[in-house]
Amino acid sequence: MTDEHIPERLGRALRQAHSLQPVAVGESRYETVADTARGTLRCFGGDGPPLLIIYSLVNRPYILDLSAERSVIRRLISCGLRIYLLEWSAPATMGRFASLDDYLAGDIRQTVRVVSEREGDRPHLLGVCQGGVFALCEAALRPQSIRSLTTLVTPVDFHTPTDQLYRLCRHMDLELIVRATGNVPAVGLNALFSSLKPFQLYGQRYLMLADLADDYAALRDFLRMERWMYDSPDQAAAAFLQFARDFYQRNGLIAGEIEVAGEPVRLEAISVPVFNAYATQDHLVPAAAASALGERLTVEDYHECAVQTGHLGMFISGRAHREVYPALAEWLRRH
Amino acid sequence: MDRSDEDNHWSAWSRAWHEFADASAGLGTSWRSLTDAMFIALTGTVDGSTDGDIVRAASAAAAAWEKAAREALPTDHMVVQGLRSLTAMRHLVTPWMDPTPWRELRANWPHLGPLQHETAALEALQTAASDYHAALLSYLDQIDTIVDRSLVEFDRVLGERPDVDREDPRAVFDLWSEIAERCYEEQLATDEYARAIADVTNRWAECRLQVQALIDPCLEAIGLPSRRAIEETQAELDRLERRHRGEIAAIREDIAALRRSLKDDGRAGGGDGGA
Repeated sequence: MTDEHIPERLGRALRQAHSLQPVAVGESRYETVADTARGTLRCFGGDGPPLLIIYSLVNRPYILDLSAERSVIRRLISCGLRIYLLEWSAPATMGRFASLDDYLAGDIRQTVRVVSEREGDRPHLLGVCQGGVFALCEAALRPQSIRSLTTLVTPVDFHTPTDQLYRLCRHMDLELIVRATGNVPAVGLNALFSSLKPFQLYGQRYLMLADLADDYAALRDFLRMERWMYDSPDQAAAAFLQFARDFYQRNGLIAGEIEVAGEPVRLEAISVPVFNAYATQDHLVPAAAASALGERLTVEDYHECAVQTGHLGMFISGRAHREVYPALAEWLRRH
Repeated sequence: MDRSDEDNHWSAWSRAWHEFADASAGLGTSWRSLTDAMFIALTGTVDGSTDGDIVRAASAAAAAWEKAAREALPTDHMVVQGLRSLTAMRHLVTPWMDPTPWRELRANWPHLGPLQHETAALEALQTAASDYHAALLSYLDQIDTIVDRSLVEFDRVLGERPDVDREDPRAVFDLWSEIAERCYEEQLATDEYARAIADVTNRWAECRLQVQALIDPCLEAIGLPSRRAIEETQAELDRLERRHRGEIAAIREDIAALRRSLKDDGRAGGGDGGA
């Protein structure tokens, strides 16, 4: 195979990839528990204390269940937790008016209540990336409604020196842009994220396919990731504007200027135990942006877990599956 | 004026114009030079010519045409008399032929008349498109900078890395990608780049809104839904939905309070009955 020229190998890999599509993703079984105004609460089962996962609005949550071998959800269930996930719906055109107040004080609060009533116990709350920011806000505003807070690759300080997303958006007139677009199209956001690593994502990534020829399992994983990367929902205009302006441009969490439904969010008000996991090679959420949480909390029960991987590696890398999730599950069972 | 006077006047005019038409066959050349000069004067399209040159050319062409007309037509002809009047007025008209103030005025033209809003919208779009174009060129300058820097760096690293097999396209491509990505990230970290990409995005949004401002009235004029109308409807629906949700929540709270109250009353009643 090594003697074979790249174009031939690449051609063969492309033909094989075509024959494997469409690839299945998110195959773990679940039960739909409740519908909220902008999402659906699913229960993936498991025995043990309930863990409610709040995912980001920006992508689909099936990255947490991309394949049976690298499924965060299956891993956590196998570690003795009962998993709930709030899956956001893509906003309809009229959904442009949905604000962060609606998502946070509406859907998330309702979901926490539903899980509590169903389980007869307060859930542990886990937020992923932007969902982690939402979980932080809820934990600061209603600490009594949850048992603990876990943040995965969650930005807290949006103005760290290597934050490329902040750099890119700092001079943008977001009000003007959102007025022009209405709901922010996923294709635009995907272009923004891809523009952070254009040579890697548009060049090397596809050339690397040649190395996967005849390795059907690896090809399937590649195609699953490919599907997930460009399968993003549009963003509700009002919520997007608030998040990009108040959190990114104004660094509102650190400045203490965030309000949800009129209530100020103070990180010092978080009184539940906190587990903060982040990736040291994350180009979307720099490690410093995530680790800033520890400096802002007053709660003593704070655990930090830095993993040597990238943003997505936190969900699919073998290292994260070995180092983060078993440790997290054990920590959760103790609280 | 009676009917016969009107007929006489009309006959005189008609005869005069017929004679002028016959004579004007010989005026073709000078007429063409006049119209050419007028066109140049109005559009200012001759490279290197000053406004003064253009006005002088137009004036000379007008005089030549007038002279040709005098020679071709009898001196008492009413067309010639008209031309004489024009000649007399030329000194009055010449300042108006100077295009400079017109150009200045065009740049600051007020929006008047029944289509003033449409004119304003068109001008705003023209400005937005021009701003977007300028912003795009500035952004492309940034890309040029990245490409130039990447090539220089690639050349340098290739010279320092004998271990890279130059016959292996994959190895060379990987090295190029790595270097280009690094140079790109360095440029991306600059405020200059952030301003360039923000400017191109902001100007695009402005352009998009200006196009919409022009399209909406056209759609509404032919009875089709415009974006403006759809957004107004959506906003109203959103307002109603929020009010509805608020009312439902209030009713639920009332029901829950009533249930609690009934339960308390039941307990109190049961207690009394048992006592």
